[in-house]
Amino acid sequence: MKLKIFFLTVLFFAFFGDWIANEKPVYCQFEGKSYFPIFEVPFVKLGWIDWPADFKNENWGNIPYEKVVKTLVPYSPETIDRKNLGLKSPFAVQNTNGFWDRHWMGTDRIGRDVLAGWIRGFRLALGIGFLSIFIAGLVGIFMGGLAGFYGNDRFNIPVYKAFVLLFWIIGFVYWIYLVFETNGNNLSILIWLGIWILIGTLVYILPAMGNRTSFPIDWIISLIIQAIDAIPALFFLLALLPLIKNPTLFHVIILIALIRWTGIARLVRAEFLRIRDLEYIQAAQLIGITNFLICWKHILPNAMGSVWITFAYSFAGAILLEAYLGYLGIGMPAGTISWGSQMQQVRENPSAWWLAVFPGLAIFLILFSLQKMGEKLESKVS
Amino acid sequence: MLTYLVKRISTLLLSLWIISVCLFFLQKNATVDVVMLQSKARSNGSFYVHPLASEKVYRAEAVRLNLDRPLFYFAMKPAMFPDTFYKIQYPEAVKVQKKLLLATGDWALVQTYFQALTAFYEKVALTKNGPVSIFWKQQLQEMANTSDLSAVKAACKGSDEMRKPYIEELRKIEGLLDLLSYQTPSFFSWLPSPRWNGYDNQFHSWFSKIIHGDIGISSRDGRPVWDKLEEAIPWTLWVNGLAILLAYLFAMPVGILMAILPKSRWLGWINNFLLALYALPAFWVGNMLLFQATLPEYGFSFFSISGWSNLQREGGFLSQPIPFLLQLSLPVFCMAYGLAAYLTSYMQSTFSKVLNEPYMLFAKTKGISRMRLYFKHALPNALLPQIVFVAGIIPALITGSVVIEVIFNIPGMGRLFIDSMLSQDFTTVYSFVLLVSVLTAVGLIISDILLVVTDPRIRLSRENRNE
Repeated sequence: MKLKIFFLTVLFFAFFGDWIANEKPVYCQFEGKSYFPIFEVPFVKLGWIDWPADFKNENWGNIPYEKVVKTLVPYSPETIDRKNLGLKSPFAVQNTNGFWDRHWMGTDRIGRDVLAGWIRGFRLALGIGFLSIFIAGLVGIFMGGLAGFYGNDRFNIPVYKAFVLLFWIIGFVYWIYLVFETNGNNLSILIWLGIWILIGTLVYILPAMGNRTSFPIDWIISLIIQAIDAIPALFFLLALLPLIKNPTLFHVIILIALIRWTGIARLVRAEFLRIRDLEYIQAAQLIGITNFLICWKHILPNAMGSVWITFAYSFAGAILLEAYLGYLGIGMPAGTISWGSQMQQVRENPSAWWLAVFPGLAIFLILFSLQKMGEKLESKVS
Repeated sequence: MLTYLVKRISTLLLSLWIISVCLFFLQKNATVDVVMLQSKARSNGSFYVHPLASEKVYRAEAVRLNLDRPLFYFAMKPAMFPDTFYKIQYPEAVKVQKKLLLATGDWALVQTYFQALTAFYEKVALTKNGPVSIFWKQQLQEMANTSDLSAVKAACKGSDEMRKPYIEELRKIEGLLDLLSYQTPSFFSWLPSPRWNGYDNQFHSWFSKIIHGDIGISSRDGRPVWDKLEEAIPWTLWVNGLAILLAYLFAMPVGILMAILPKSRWLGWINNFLLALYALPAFWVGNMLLFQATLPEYGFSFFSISGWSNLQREGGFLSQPIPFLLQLSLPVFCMAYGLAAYLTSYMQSTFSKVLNEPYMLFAKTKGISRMRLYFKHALPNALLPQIVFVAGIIPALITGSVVIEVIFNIPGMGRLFIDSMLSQDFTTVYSFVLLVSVLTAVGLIISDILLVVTDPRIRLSRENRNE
């Protein structure tokens, strides 16, 4: 129950952070007209609502409103408060217009409000964590399921089809590569790709002839997993980042997913290996249910119990990785405000404890509750 | 047993080989080009004169560095590509010629066109600097850097006065442009033509060097990477080794005590505390310890952020053990507490699992004393997974130690890695990743083999499953 409330609060911060901490007021009256600036932003961009010129200066703190209802934290993460430059402590005397405008978590070196950045951090950490684990989960369940369901012995195809399959995969990769190389606007390559897919389907429907052999799917996937697992996560991430000229958050998400899918896949594989030998699966196979349906409807729901646990732990790992990246200042797009980047500033300004304590506390609480949740799920499963 | 070992080790070697192939290609595609750096540094400024001139310098440098060879054992390119496409080295030239080739499909023609451009440039470069030659140099810069034929054609235009001295070359280029614009690759020239490049390729020589222990030279300061690593490894080993030792020293007795003591509400609280300790990010704690607790106002002055080089100079642990250990205390503490927390609850769970085994009940009914029960019968069985566990956590430990080393300014492997990363010294970075992954993989396999050797149940199940 406590955990649920905590996660709901965190989600609230992540989704509505921009309405809690924003330099734009919730409601204001200016030159006799009423505005709801934080809600009107998209409409202004579309041109449906017109704002006075003062609003477009992006200096919301100094506009002489007639009436105003500010947000809870009247600063955006990027807002630079020129009156409180240079690391104002939360307890220090701050040069603000009033109680409401105080920087409750202090300011950083260039006068940005730490509380606003802290609230933004929720969205970043949760977004990166959730999306990367989502992608990692899709890849991991697919690969692990494939390896676990077929194993080394159950993907039985005729020998000639196995050879054609290998040959076909190489060719397919080649054509896809060429499509990317020519930006997809070369007709002959697209025709070749079509022919290739046609050949694939043709061979697929061809009758089975000659001896059968088992295609070692499990061995191949386990090899890939083993190779990725041998590289420590942070090293893996940092080794891939120099390939990208201007890293964006999307790249970071994909890279974290690339690291995290192996853990999920290993577990899914083990579960599938266990469940596929159970009697009800054999019965299902006897009735003639297709392999896909057996995996989807009968094995996966059974396996998910323990997969959720890994999700919780992987989520924690992804958030920690994101914090590492922000802290080391590598890989994140320039100017991204996250807990890690706030903590990084302490290295240059050792006395600014508020830049370390609050972001760290948030990371700690989230990691702790995720561990707790994992533990709970574990006891539920066993 | 032997077949299991052979299988396991051969897959390990295979996966390490796959990693090294991947790392090699990553290194080749990283944003920093070693040949480019070298040719800029060694060409006395002639590199910057003109793209067509720098191409020549670049190619010479690639030959000198022995990099004008195919990348891998085999290549699969469309049939229109020549066998010797890798001989084109300068990245800009590769980009333009590849595009032209993909658009026209006639390698001989593309080649003649570029030769014509180079010949033109050489003639312009030989003549005295004047408005005409400067104009054509600029135009040539445009021509060399674009694969858009109409743009090249536009660049060829100029007043008759300008064109007159070079009219032959210009006519030749314009003729070639016309030919190029009519060409399109035939349908069948898109088919792949796999080629075997033989052993004289870049990967082969890189890999055989690594096998012989030569992991390369830093592209930043020219020092062998191995020398850098040699200085860094002891620090990382000290910090990690001490952390593991401390964690075990704490976890063993506490874990056993928690398993033995009767269940109470306190135990739940301690468990929660351990979980919190485990979730506490070490880099946060390290950060705060370093910047808040080492300030002289608080009275902790035993740690100094620049103290590492002094220690190194004066001989480390043997000559002055106490300052050495004091200096290490903060980072080791940061590394150790999370591990200790995890190990404690792990120890507790394995120990209580062992205590619930039927053979323990049997021993109890026989009337063995408690001490004998716990330490003779339960401990060896509970200890085994613990020891095997160490190898499994090495990757996580190394990852954690990177950040700790950066925070505490320890000149260890992690900081070396981050420093090379920030100075874009990718030779060091990738050799490093390879080394760490070899260590990790070996650690994992040792733990696996230990497990199999010591526990016949696991061995049998694995042999039966043909893993």
